[in-house]
Amino acid sequence: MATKSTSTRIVLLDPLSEADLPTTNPAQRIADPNGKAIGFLFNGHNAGALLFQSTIEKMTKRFSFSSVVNRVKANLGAPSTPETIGELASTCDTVVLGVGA
Amino acid sequence: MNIQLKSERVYVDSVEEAIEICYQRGWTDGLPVVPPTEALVTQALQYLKRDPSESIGVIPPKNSPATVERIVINSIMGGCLPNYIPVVIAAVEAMLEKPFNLNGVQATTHCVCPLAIVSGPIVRQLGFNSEDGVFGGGSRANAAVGRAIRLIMWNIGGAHPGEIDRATLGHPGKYAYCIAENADGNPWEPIHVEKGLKPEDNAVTMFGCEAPHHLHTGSGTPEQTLDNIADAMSTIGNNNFLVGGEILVVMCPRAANSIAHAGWSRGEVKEYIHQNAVVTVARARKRAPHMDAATDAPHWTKFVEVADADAVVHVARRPEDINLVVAGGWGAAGSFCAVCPSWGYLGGLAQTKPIQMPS
Repeated sequence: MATKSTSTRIVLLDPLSEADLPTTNPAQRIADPNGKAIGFLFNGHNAGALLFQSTIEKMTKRFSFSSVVNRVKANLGAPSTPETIGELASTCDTVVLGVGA
Repeated sequence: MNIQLKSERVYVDSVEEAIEICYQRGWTDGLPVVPPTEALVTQALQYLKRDPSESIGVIPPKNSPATVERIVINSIMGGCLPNYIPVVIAAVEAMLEKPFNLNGVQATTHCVCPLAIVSGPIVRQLGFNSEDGVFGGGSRANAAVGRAIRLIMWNIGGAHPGEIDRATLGHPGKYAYCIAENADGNPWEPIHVEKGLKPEDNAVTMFGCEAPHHLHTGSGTPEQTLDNIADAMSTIGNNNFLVGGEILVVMCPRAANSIAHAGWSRGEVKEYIHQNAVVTVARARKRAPHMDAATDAPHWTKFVEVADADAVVHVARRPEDINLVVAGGWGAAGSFCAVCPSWGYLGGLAQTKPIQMPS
């Protein structure tokens, strides 16, 4: 089937936009949590509170962490503050996030 | 003005094919759109006199840049005339303010949807509807601006139901949700003046909220009208009862003027509603019987003594958490008002931006 010349066709513009995402290098998983500093960041949703608390109890009983940092997000529907993220990043070897929606 | 466009060009042979390709490529949320031709987009950019590559900000959750070019394309698709697009740009600016938490609004399981409230002289100038049927159809400006905002959130933000948009029930406003304030029928200052702008300014206030709960508030005393509104707010299922935040009350001009004529100020109206829109702890236990448990305590237990069955939870924690707008037709023998609960303190908080028209 012959196509029309470009000049007689209707030209539409794509409304989509692509994110310009920076490349990131995820942190390496720690092989052995014993002797490491762990952080727990709870999102604050009461529906997940029991599960998250139980997770903390089981993990701290099972492993010998050098230190434990517990934090709760101020707004469960928004990202953590840069201060909280900075604190956890600088004081912990690994962080557990969760839970509830 | 020499306009350099960066968007991909898609070539079609007919209007029918243009409409269908918008569906095939996922450019629409289900409603048909105006095919965004290069001619229409160029015409709008020439009117705006702004750099097409200028980014207003990134739209979550995809975090793609909302360039002027992309905003114009989506606005054309929504049916906007070029002079509606500054309203859309102001709406995007408002939603990108941190307290609005657009990322959360786009993704939550709650039904929250951004409502655009247009106010100022531009309402009349551009033909926005602020009278009969204000929440419904019939006005190109209301519909097109509302559609443009949704298409921006769909195409640039990437929030699709069942994917990142996890709204369990959704909201009819997720097709278009735009009203205008009735300046002639408003006995108090416009909402944009309350939010800090000048009376002669044009503005759009974005507020994340549910669909309007329509109330027949009758023709009684101010207290009777406001008690009706407060009662409608005082339910254990009201999200604002659970998580605080702001709530919207829309009054038709009849209700507003009756109350103002009796000597009530806007602030006194809000104070009364705040005081009387309450849920007792005894009633609250029906929804959250384990509220005493540290792991199951609702947000409001931080402020109220749960051991006291008669203690009350204010649905609007403070009078200033009530956004009050006068809109709609005059009303019949009795007045009508509406209440729009919100996503609470989590996001969607009212943000007002001035509308900058091209010189």
